[in-house]
Amino acid sequence: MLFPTLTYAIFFVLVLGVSWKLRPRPRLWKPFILVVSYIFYGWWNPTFLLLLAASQVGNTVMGYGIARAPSDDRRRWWVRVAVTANLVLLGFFKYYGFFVESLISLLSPLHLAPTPLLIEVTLPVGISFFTFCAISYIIDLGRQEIEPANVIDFSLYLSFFPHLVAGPIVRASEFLPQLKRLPNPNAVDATRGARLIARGLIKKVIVASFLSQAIVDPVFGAPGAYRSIDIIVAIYAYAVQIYADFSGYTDIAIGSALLLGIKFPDNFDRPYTAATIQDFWRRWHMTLSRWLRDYLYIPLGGNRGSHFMIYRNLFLTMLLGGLWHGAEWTFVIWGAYHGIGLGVERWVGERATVPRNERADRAPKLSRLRSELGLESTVGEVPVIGEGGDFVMAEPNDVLPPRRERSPWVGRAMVFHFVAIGWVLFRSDSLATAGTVLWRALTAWGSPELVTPLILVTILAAIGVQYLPQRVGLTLEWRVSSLPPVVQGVGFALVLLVVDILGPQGVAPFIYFQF
Amino acid sequence: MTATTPSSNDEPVAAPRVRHGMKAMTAWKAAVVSLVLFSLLASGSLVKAARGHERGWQRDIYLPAANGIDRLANLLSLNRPLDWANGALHRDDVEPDIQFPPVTVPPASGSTTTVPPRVISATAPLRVGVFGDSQSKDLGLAMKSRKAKDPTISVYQQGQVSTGLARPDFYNWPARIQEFLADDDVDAVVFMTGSNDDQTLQDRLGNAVARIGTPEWSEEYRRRVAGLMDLVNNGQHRLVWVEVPLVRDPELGATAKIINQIVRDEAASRQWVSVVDAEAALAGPDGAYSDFLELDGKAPVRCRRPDGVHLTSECLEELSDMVFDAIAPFFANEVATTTSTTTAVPAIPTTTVPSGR
Repeated sequence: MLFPTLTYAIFFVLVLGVSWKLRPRPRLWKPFILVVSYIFYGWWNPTFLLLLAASQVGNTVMGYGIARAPSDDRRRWWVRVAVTANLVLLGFFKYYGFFVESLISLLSPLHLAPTPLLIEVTLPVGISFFTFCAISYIIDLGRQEIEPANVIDFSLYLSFFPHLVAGPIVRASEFLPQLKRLPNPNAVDATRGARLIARGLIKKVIVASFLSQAIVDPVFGAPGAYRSIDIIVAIYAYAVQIYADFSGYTDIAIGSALLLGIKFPDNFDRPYTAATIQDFWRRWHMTLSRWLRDYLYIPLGGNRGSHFMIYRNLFLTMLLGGLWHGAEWTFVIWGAYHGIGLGVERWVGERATVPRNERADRAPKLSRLRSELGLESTVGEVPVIGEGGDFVMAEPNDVLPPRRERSPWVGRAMVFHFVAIGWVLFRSDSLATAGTVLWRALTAWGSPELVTPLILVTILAAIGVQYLPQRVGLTLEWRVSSLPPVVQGVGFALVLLVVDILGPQGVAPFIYFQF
Repeated sequence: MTATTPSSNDEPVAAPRVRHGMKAMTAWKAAVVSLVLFSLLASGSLVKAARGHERGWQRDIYLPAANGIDRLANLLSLNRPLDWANGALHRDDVEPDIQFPPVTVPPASGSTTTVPPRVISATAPLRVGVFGDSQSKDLGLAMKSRKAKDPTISVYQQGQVSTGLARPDFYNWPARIQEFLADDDVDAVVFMTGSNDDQTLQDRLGNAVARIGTPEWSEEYRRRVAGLMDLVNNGQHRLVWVEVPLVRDPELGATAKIINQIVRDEAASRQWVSVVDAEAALAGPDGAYSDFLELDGKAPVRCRRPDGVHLTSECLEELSDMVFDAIAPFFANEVATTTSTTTAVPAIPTTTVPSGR
């Protein structure tokens, strides 16, 4: 079931009413939400409900195994088994074809291509999301940070329909406690929920669909046929499209959950205002970023160890993060591109903050410096992926005359362009297409064919809105929340009408469904 | 109404103001008001969406409900703003109508008049319009990309997703192509559709005409294929009809084979039509559907996207070349005509009889 459809609207309104009626009786409410979540998911392909159910039951059982393990070794063993089982499930459905096709390409020149291994494996919608949720539950149990959940609660956590197919990647520690306490039925944050849903619909149905049809699809479909200006604008347009598409989905998901009395973590925070790549990853798909940090980057060693180890951890985390997005080399290279970008940014940041006369080539090695300064980093201190300069602190007096402060706008422009170029890999169906797009963006000058003032205004507006102070939206919410509910309802209907008028006929699936 | 968190008057001025919460059932009633009001205001869109829905229980529920809401909205004049907006945006609620031209009969030997071939050159490039469903969109983009550096060919991609010949109430291809040919000067029309046509055939107003799987369905589909072929034949245009490549779904695959046979049958008697045999060319070694193909004897490449219908870029390139090969005999290249004036160009028959179908 797609969010921006009348089917979902009817479904949600029915579920909303019944849900609040049943909410005081968890024994009825939980199975009800579970059933409607299954209906939501099964609307695409009921076959995959079996897979979802198997994941729910299997992880519940393994969760109990972890919680009741008589020793630490036994608990670790259970964690390893459970994580492996989840990765095997994800690996088979998502990466089997990728690895076999890569193997065939590699071995074909030797006439050893294992062609019998070529079978088509259908990718179940949302498997990357619910598998990551399951892994986080298992690891948190292993770390003894949460208590095991019964099969109903865990199933609800994994399949709660607003976040089931494309996130946010909610943690068990955020979700499960909300099942135990009743939300206040007299203080539903309905205005915020409605605003999020309206904002998500505008982003997805109007902005993303328009840019996709007007310039992104034609240019990325035939990059050899368009001139540099068309291609450059299409690259910017895709940066806006993917943001509008994915954050639009997230907005609707968070808004829907909020109306049902469940709070989700934020997933986007004006990412194109980021002045560093690291800052971008703090603001883009935040729930994935923290998942990668907590369950991949830190277990790999995080900021501990030698310089090489830190850069390696950073690179591997982003590389695997890229692979998570899709079983294609374009995604792998995209992940590596961001890994390298974060590494370079970190290196430059360290060069800028370490006193020139204490740089590694002239002074004690950084590890010694850290030790001397008493700034050894520990796992718990690492706030985000690639946190730069968190352990190498320079006293201002030690530094040679400070360099002139760079305007944040330079950083923002550089980061936006770095990210937008990376999106070319993300959008292209092959590395060759990505190469053509980038090459022709620089070399094929001539009259544009597709660029219109409306496209440019849409791109500029979508980026410009991110620079509005947050209080604008909050004040708007506050003012609207003072209005009578019926007026709010009428206003929401008018927003829907505008979306219907300005949107295309039919709505394409969300980009992130494929992940 | 209650505040979501306690509000305090002695908070610092800069502190964010607290939103007012709503009682759960009040929120639900507001949501119902929204949905009902939107349904009335956008009743035209609901009817169009319901009509566009695949036949089945959902459509059986949606369509009468949407029609009822539309009647009520019309009575209350609540659908005027949408009608006005659609008018301003040049969006029609109802697809344009079309009358197929009289059916062309196969020309008797020597009884046709021929239209001289148009010589293509860099200054007068061959103009190719690509029409059809999402597959044609992909094909059009691939063709455009393939000939990007060739100044003698211009490709215009005009595909529409989720369309075909089964549902003229949703998108009436014959009428749209007629409009396009009247407005834009193209030499060759490439048409590719059929992947969405495994359903009951309807007329322009959404009435069922023939159920899938019946002889009546084949007969009506044949009439539409023939009508479109004749529509393009106005003495100037050549038509390249691209068959539906086989698909993974067996039912849809069976329908695709029926459609392709109809296309081949009808094209056989129309010299201005050329058929690209995508069914055979993009099938596995045993002639059945396959996700992977060995193109030019190289290592197997993925030919279908995960949906088992749409083609990957590798196979689209292959198909593009087949389409250009099919177009080529219809037109004389400037270089060729300067070296040889005997380029064989099929005649365009102009003999017609009144429509009997």
